[in-house]
Parts: sequence; C-alpha cells; structure tokens
Amino acid sequence: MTHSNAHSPPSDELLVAYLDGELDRDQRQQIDHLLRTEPPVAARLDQLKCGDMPFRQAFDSVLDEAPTERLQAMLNALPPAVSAHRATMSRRGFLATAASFVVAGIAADRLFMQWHSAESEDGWRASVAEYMVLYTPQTLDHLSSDPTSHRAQLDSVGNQLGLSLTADAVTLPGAEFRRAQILDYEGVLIGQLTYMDARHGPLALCITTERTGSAKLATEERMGLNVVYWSSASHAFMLIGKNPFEDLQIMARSAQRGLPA
Amino acid sequence: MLPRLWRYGLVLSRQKHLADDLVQATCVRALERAEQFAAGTRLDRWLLSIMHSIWLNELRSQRVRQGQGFVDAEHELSFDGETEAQDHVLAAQVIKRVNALPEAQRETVFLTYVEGLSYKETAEILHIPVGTVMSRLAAARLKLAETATPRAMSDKSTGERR
Repeated sequence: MTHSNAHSPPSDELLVAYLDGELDRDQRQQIDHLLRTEPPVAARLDQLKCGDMPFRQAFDSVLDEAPTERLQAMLNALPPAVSAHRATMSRRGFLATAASFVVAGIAADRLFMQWHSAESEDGWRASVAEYMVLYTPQTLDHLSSDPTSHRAQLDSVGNQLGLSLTADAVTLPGAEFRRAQILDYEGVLIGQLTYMDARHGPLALCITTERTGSAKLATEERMGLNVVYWSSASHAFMLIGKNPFEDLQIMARSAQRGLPA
Repeated sequence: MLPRLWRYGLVLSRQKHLADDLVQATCVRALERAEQFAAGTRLDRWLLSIMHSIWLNELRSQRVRQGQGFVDAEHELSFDGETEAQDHVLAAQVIKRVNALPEAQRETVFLTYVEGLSYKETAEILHIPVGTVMSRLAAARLKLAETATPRAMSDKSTGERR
C-alpha cells in the first residue's frame, strides 16, 4: 500500500482506501498533498466518489423483509439427522454453545434434546475427534514454545492422570510439541498433548484413565481424521491427526516406549 | 442476527428462497462447529463467514450444476410492489445497482459498506488478501459511478484513468 514515487498517480485502490478511511496517517497525508497539487488525481477521486451510495440505509430496509418467524420455525424444526453426529460433545461444550446461540437468537433447545439423548454411546475417542476436527494450524499459533512452561504443563497433566510425563517421553518423531492440557469429558479427565506436524497440521496424543482396549495398536477414522489407539494396564491412549496411518503408528510405538504401563 | 444473515444470503444468491436455504445451512453448520466459535471470534462475523463458504462451496455450485443459472438481476432482490414510498424507491435503486455488480464485488461492497466491516475483517470472512478487497472495492465504485444518475455523470468529462 505504500506510494513512494511522487510522480506516478496513486492507484484507484489507494484512493478508495482514502475515501474509506483505511489509510494510515502518512498515506493519508500523501494523498491530501496530491489532491491539492495534481488536478487529475482530484478528478479521479471525484469519479470514485460517484460510486458512493447510501448502501447501509438501502440495505437496512431489506432487514424488514426477512421472514424472521419462518426462519425461526425452520430452525426449531431441523431434522434429527442433521445433528445426530454431534452426539458426543461434552455437556460443558454444549452449554457454551447454547449460550452463544441464545445471544444469536437461534433456538437450540431442540438440538440439545437430540444431543442429550444420543450422548454416551461413542466414548472418549469420538469426543476427542469432535474436538480435534476444529483445530487448524492457526489454533496452535500463539502457544508458548518455552520448555519450562511445557514441563510445567506436562507435570500438571501427568499428576492428574497418575502418569509420569516428561518432554522426552512424549516426543513424537516428526512432530513438534506445542501444549499439554486437561480436558473434562463428562467427568472423565482426558490429557491432550498437542503437536504440530509441518506436513499434516495439528495432531494430538490423548490419554485417559479409562482403560478401554488392548496394548495392540488399532486404527480407525473419525470425522475425517486418522486415529491410532491402544491401552496400557492403566490408561487408554489415542493419536489423532491428518497424518497417514503409517506415520501415526510409528509415532504410537514411540509413545508406547516413552509411556510404559 | 437472523435477519442480517438472511440479508447476506439474499445478497449472495439474489433469490429469497435461496436466502432461506442459506440461513438454514449456516445455522446447521454453526451448531456443528460450535466449539470453533468458543475460540473467540465475534459471532456475527463467524456466521457471515460460514455462510460465505457454504455459498461458495456448496449451494452456488449446485445451482450451476443443475443448469438453473442465476435469475436476471432485474427480477429479484427488489421490493414488493406495494412499498412505493420515496425512500424505498431510492433504496431499491441502490440495491439494484449493487445487485448488478459481479458476485465478488457485490459481497465485498456489502460486507464493507453495509455491514461496516474493516478491509481486514472483510478479507478474513472472504478468505482473500486485503489487497483483493481494495481492488474489488475500487472496481465496484467505478462501475457504480458509471451507472450513477446522468446528471452526476455529465460533470465528469475529465477523470481519465491515469
């Protein structure tokens, strides 16, 4: 957006940004100066100004036309199939959701009923998948990379799960550790260790004290994410991400070595 | 928020029944992804952004695939015949002109000038660089200036580009 050459006229984009108050002070002053000294620039600005209309006023009258009652009724009548796969999000997550939609004026009570009744079948892995599918690389952007805080996070999560978690033990080949935290799934604690994989994006190693499987690695796909899971004598583990199963299995073996029963 | 969503749906699709569909699809998607919202964006921005993606990726392509195309800009997104008050005539003219813009310019003008979003916020909702927002607005303003009233245009014989 800079405009360094005083002899070339400013672009239309810059002039429009000037009209819209989107320029910083220096840029604004440059344009102000050109408008005083260069008649063609002033003429061009006038022409662009002609494209200005009472947009907001005009479109605000469209709001009155919205079939609000019909839309509200339609939302209340959303078919069960639409939200069936929501079944496993935690109640806490739901409450936050419901609150946000009450603000939006969207009726969520019916969805809540479906949700509530379908809950509890699929177990913690489904819940984690629901959660992880929302992660983007940007989700992990602003996390601290400070080893001291990582150690403190791992200590805290490990203590709550009754498991010794050290930075070495939870290192996964090819992925960079970003954060450890505890999630609460219907009163069951889930340790979530989040990593960033340069090629495949966010992935997580999740741990819970509910032992649910065998030591043998098993695979499944949930919400379009690949999952490798196993159990020790005391804990259940899952690795979830967009990485191919082979990658996840290699990482899983590494985690198995680092986190013995 | 529902009327605002519906209005954006109407700006995108230019047809009322599609605006209804867009609101429904957007709310369903929003509920499906509710935890994403907890991450802390503004709800209205978030919903507009969801609607934009649904239109771009799903509904619009469906319309094109089905060979239905788009109705002529003359015939939709206008007021019902009864509401002929002066203000509404003016509003209808503005809407008609905006409606005649290409889709990308139309929604950029809408988000920036009607919803009052900053260039940056508009860019985020549309998943485009700020520079693209700027060039769309510049192009839209020129086009709107061309279709402005003849009286306004008669004063502008100069103003040649560059």
